[in-house]
Amino acid sequence: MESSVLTEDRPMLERLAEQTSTQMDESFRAVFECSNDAMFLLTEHGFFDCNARALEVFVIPSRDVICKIHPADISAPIQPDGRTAQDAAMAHIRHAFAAGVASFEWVHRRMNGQEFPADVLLSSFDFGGRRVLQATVRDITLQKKAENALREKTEELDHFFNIALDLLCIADTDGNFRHLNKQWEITLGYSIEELEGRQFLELVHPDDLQGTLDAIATLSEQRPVIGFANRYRCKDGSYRHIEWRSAPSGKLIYAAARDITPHIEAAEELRRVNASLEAANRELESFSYSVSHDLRAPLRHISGFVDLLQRNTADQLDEKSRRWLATVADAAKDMGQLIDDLLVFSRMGRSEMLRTDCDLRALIDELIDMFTRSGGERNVEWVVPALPIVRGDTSMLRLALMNLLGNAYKYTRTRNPARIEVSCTDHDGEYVIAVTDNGVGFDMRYADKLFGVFQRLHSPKEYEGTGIGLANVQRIVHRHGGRVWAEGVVDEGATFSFSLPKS
Amino acid sequence: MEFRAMKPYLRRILLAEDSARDVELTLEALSEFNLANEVIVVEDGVEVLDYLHCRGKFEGRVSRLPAVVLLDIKMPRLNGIEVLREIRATEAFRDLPVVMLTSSREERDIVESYELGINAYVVKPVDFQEFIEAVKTLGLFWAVLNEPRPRGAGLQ
Repeated sequence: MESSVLTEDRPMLERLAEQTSTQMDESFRAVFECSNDAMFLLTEHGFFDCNARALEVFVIPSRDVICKIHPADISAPIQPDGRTAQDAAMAHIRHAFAAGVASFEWVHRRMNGQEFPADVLLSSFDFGGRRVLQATVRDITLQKKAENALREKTEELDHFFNIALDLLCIADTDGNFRHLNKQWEITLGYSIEELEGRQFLELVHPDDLQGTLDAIATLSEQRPVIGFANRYRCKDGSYRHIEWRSAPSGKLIYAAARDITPHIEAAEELRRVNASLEAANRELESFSYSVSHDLRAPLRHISGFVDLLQRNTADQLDEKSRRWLATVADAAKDMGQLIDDLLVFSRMGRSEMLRTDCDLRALIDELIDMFTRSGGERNVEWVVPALPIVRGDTSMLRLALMNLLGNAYKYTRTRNPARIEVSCTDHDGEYVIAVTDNGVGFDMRYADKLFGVFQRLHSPKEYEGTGIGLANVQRIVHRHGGRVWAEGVVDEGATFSFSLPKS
Repeated sequence: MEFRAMKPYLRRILLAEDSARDVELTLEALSEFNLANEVIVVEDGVEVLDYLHCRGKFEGRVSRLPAVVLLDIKMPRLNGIEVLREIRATEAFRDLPVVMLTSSREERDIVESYELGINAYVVKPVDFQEFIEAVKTLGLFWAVLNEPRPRGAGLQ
């Protein structure tokens, strides 16, 4: 082992070592030896005595070698402040001699190489006419660990506090901001310094003051406040809406808040949009109302006078002319049907939905009855199972079913027997109802046109209709929160299905 | 149909209609059953009331209530609904049969008419044949078949 004790100093240290038995009385020796701290006696040249604990802590083989050891030999060569052990030790030793005592932190090194942090106390005293130092070394490894752990934790929490995207705040029930995180600077535009220690009530919007005082009162009663919102004045004079979640603790308030100004603005926008939609709806309503009168009247006149004309001129016109008159009459009739369909369609979009329990089976039975009575001589096989009660608007669902069954009825006209089957399957959370027929079917390539307004896959000559029935069905089903779809095979039949959510 | 032989006169039909075309169509339809000459045509709600009260244009006519008043809704000055309100507000006309004969199928028109005491609400069919049937039925029922409350008679 390298020793920093100068060769010429050794004899002096050994002499001092010999004197310890005479210079230290028994009781002092006992205290020295039993101490739980490592203790040394030394001069600026090196050690000359130590206690049993020191031997243990520093892994010194025996007391005999103590005079060969200098403080620098049992220290980390470079101390945390950057100084060499020699320089730093000398400084402390001189200070101890000068001031009588020196207390400092140190990094020691055991003779097995292991380093550890220590608290060192040096005190000078008279030893047989000579000023020497007593050193007490306390191993503070555990303490240091605890300090580090605490510091890391504190740093972590401080970091969290400052980096959090929410507005975090510690305030008190006297109305002061105590501690705020960085987010406040971003939101309100003040610096943290301008806010901490300030009365937060100064920044609250006058209309929200009473509410805020009430919230503070609640917190004073040690009850938390959740979902409270008020407005705070920013540095530029504008106000922002802040929503609070506050937990009381004695006089303190620990709160996390959010700037909900965008939410408030979005809600305002929604209200505005709703209002304009209502206005648009009202306009549409009055438009439909005029259509009801204004378009129908001239149509009736065309129809009426053509009819009168037909009666008057029955025998006077040639076949062609009669046919043309009939065409005019039919065209007027078609227009009438179109207007009626369009009115129904627009009413479907505007009207309030009346949600009740609808007995689908009863609706369908009623419709089948209607078709049968008005259908004349037709061989139709209706297959309808038991159907659930669903939640919806009865008149709308009736219209939808009437369109679906009516289509099935119409497009199976050439079949004998016509077969129309209703089915219902129960899926998780929804019912799927399907109407299957053995009619003329359709080409799947054009399936996406089926539900368009006034879109048809057959000419009016083959099958009458305006092309609004399925558009109505789609609108109705969508308003109930469901979906519609269709499958068909040309000349074999078609299945039209729709889903209805259970609630 | 031999009703004519049983009654000394056909009571009149008061038709309120501002469209000349509709008047012509209605008269043609009524003429199918020979009811046409018993129809009084007025152009708007004010004239309806003038007729009933025997005033204005109808000053001095013999005060005889028509068998039925056929009202269109959309008319200038006073519309069908306003006329109905006026009619029902007058004691003497409380029981007077009034039928709305109109293009409007709007729910609010129907509801309001019944609220005000209409006897019937008929939407003019676009198909003329159907229109003829409707007008004939109305005319036959109110002007021929229906027995009105005798004038001046009330429960003792």
